[in-house]
Amino acid sequence: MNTQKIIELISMILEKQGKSCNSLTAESALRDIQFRSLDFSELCLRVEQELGRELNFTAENLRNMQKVSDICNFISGASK
Amino acid sequence: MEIHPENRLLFPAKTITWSELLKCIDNDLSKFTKKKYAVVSDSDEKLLAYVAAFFKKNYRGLVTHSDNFNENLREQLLQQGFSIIKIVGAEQEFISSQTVSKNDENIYILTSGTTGIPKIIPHTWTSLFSLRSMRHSIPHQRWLLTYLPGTYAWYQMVTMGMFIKGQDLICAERFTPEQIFIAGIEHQATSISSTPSFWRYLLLLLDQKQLRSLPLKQITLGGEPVDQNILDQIRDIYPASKITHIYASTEMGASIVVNDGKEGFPAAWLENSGTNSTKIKIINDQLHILSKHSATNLSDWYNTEDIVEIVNNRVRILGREESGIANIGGQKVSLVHIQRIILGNPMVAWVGIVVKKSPITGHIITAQIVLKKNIMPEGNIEKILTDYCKEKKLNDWMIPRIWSILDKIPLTKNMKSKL
Repeated sequence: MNTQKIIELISMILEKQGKSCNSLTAESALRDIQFRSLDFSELCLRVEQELGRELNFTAENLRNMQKVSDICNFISGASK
Repeated sequence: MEIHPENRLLFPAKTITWSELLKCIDNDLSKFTKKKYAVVSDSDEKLLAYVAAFFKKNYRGLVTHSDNFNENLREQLLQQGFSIIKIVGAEQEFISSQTVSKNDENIYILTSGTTGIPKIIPHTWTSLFSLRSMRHSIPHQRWLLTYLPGTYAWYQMVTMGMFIKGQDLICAERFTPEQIFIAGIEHQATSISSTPSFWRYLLLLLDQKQLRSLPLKQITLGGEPVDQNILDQIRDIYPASKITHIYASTEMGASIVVNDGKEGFPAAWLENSGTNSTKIKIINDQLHILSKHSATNLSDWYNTEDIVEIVNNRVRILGREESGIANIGGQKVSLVHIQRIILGNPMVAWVGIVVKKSPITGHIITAQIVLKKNIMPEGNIEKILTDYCKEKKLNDWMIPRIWSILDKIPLTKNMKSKL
């Protein structure tokens, strides 16, 4: 799953929650865009649905992520 | 108790009385020497005949539709002393059990309960015939049978048809709600007992004119949580009907009967110890019942494991602890509560709440929905429904994160939502 697709999913999740995503880029800080635990959980589930399989998302992996690019890199790596 | 021989059973191709039905299987029964049977068939007529025979000849047994029968069930039945009579199409098979079963007077109900693993629950004719005290006050009616043969709810209808004068049963021998309803129109049903999901399915498919073509006098709901939304929708279509909802289980029988048009039941019933045949109490938010209609092996207070809440002096049932309550990031969530809120949205015909595993929060809430006919949402449906949930003050962790739109309501053969 490529970076563009993941950013689109994050944008969709934020928009659905009424959060602003106009300036969303790979360098956006997760704290600044208010991307929280439930948003993470939803993203993980949507990625797994897209790929048709479970990925090894762990709380420890996600705790270390600070930016959108961290998520994209992790998902891209995990989905290979 | 005695079978009213002239009460009728109305099948698609014929109408028959109970006495005629019994005569049809006299020859079959004369061949058998055992006293405990499991009858498996694809024919409602055969299953009803054997139920009547169980009563007349004092046999013990259970009946079940052949769709429920598999190798696991076969072994379980034989081990418990049931000899099996299998009648599917033109083929008959008899399997004798070698297990010596203890002498009892039970009619057995097969239920999958909440685990999906079949349980065999012993009842008596007395515990199954929960309307016995009202048998002189029920007017003549033609009941549309919607439940799967052999289930507790089915027996509620069948014992009425057997033991209360003037109660005819319409046996559709069809499986979808719309096919069953058409059978009701063909035989001019006056009364229906079924689940909220049955009605949601019909409301989606048929318009008011079609539904009102059957001027129902009595509508009874049960088998699933009954919410105010479905009660109001049915009242809107049938303003003159008596609408009843019943809290029942195979173990406890029909325990709580409500006729006031509101969901739940009055909290005052807790203080006054319920009704004549049922006592109700709440311990640690769980509903406990002591019922005269309970299975024979349950004579004490029974923990239903249904979580309840009291709101405005009404006790509302929120769902089972293990299947109806989810833990989302440490917060307990009632799935029935979420369902109730979403069903209040005028676009939504049905919703099933599904808890999915996820990292960090452990689980998240997702929803499957069926929209009402001719609904064309303006905008993204997930956002529309998410905003609706926020307006209704659902907490963040309760709001479904993924919404899947289905074409039709997924129903089991017993008219319950598959979720």
